[in-house]
Amino acid sequence: MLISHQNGIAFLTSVFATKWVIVPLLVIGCEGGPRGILVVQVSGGNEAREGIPRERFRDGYAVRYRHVVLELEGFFLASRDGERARIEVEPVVVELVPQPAQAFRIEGVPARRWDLVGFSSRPVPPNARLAQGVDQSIVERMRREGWSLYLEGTLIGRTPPRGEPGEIEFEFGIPVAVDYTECSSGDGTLGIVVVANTITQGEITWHLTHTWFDSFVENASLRGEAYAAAWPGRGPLLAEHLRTQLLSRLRGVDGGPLLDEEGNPIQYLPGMTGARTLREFLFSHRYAHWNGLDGECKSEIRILAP
Amino acid sequence: MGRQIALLFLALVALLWSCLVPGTGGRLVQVRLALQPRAREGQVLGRSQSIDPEPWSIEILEAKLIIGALYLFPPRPLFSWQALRLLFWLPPKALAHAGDDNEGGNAILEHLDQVVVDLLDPTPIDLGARLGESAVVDRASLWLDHPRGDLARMGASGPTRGHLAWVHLRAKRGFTCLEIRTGIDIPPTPLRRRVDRIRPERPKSLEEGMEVTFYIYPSDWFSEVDFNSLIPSGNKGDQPIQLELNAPSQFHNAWQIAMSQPSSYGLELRSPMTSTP
Repeated sequence: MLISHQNGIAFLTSVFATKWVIVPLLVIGCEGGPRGILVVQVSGGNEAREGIPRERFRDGYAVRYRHVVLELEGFFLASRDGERARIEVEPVVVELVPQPAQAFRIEGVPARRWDLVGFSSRPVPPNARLAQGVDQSIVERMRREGWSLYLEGTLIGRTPPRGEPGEIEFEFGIPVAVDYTECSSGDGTLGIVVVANTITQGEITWHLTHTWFDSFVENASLRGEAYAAAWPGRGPLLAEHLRTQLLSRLRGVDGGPLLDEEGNPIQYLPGMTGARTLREFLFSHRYAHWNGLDGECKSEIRILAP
Repeated sequence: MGRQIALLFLALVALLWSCLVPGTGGRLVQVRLALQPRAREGQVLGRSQSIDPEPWSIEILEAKLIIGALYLFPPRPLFSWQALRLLFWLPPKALAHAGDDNEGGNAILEHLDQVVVDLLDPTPIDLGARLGESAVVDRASLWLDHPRGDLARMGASGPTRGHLAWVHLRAKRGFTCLEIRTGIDIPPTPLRRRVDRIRPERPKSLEEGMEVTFYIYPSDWFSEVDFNSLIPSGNKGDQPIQLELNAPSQFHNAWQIAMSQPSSYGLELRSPMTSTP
């Protein structure tokens, strides 16, 4: 049901008069006019396809991803003038390796600029739709463990206990609820313009380098050794293993203090996240950009398994 | 009848809307603002233990910190679509991307003068009366500052020896005793210097005559320092070891992380009528 504002007020007043219900409020933000189709794709970029080469890490590690699986829901379009597109999307689980996935195809979207774009990522609910290429067993594990994001791959570099070159498999389940709001595109424009009678593409860019950032303030570098050093030596490296890495006492793969090139202790900066361990630090990362890596969203994150 | 219902409905919408947009009262109230170092329950101010399996006993002998500014913030405004989300029974959310500046916006109370805090003195530092906006206090921020003005001119003879903070502490384990003197500096960028999301013990609205107290909990700021690594090789353990540390070091990393945590601070809003929290 799409009706104009003025008509909407008259309509809901009449409904309220007869039914005494609050549902009339639902019509706020609706409008008629031309429409288009919005397709929202999620991409893990080059990192999902090719991994992250050692040149990009400050400490010479490299990463390959085998699975990047995430849940998305609550996609919305609104505007600062009070309109809200009446769209509904069901929760979806997508796999970003080796290629981008389509998360949502939304038809009948009023054609205009929607300058408030947002979406959420939550632990996988029972009714989530599985996009093409998603491993059912991973989804079941995510659902069971309360994860909204699952990262699986290989960390390549020095390994404990003596720092020999090697590979460490990692399986990080991330139990967080994140809301991304007020997304601006990489070109600096707000939200998205839905064009009439055609298909408009939007992209959530899931920037996989964030996992390896060493700072929540400025000038973050990518580092792998603090993660490698937490590996117990058998099986995959899990997020739980990162509990042993206090940010104030980070260990290197040789068991000693984690030092930089000049021999100084490496400082991970948790900023406002309040993280005290590498596990909390990992869980605090936000990944989503909008329409390119320069597109930013505001976000709020809640760690669901402290 | 229809007109009355329409009016009733419009009143309902207005009421709902007013609930969704906090901090809009605009009424100014005068409150008293204070800073106070404090020990956590069951602790002694300035004393703690390290987290090691064989813990070190830590006693802070002198500690000074410069606070540059204090801010109180109302709940985040629920503008337009966010209000609609609430109406649609969806959880309202809006904060920031990591690396972006989360805070700012409309503070309902601020204090912008530098204050040097003696972290071992539990006497409240009265910052005087301040005008604030009558709104619910959701969270607070404070700014860790380097010396400015007269404090800067005092340089190394100042209370923080020219640093953002200064400490002289003693760490003991068995016969080994370390006495450490050092200062800390943090680059002057908002995300490094500001401590955000300090929550009030109980959310309340600012009201006339209220006492607003920021607490600082310094006792366990050094509990994650690796004192073992500071023992000089060949130490006999019969004399206190005097150390003057320079950053960067593990000591400074641990200190900065602890000092920058919102949990190292507290906020109490005390109503004038009850004089209780």
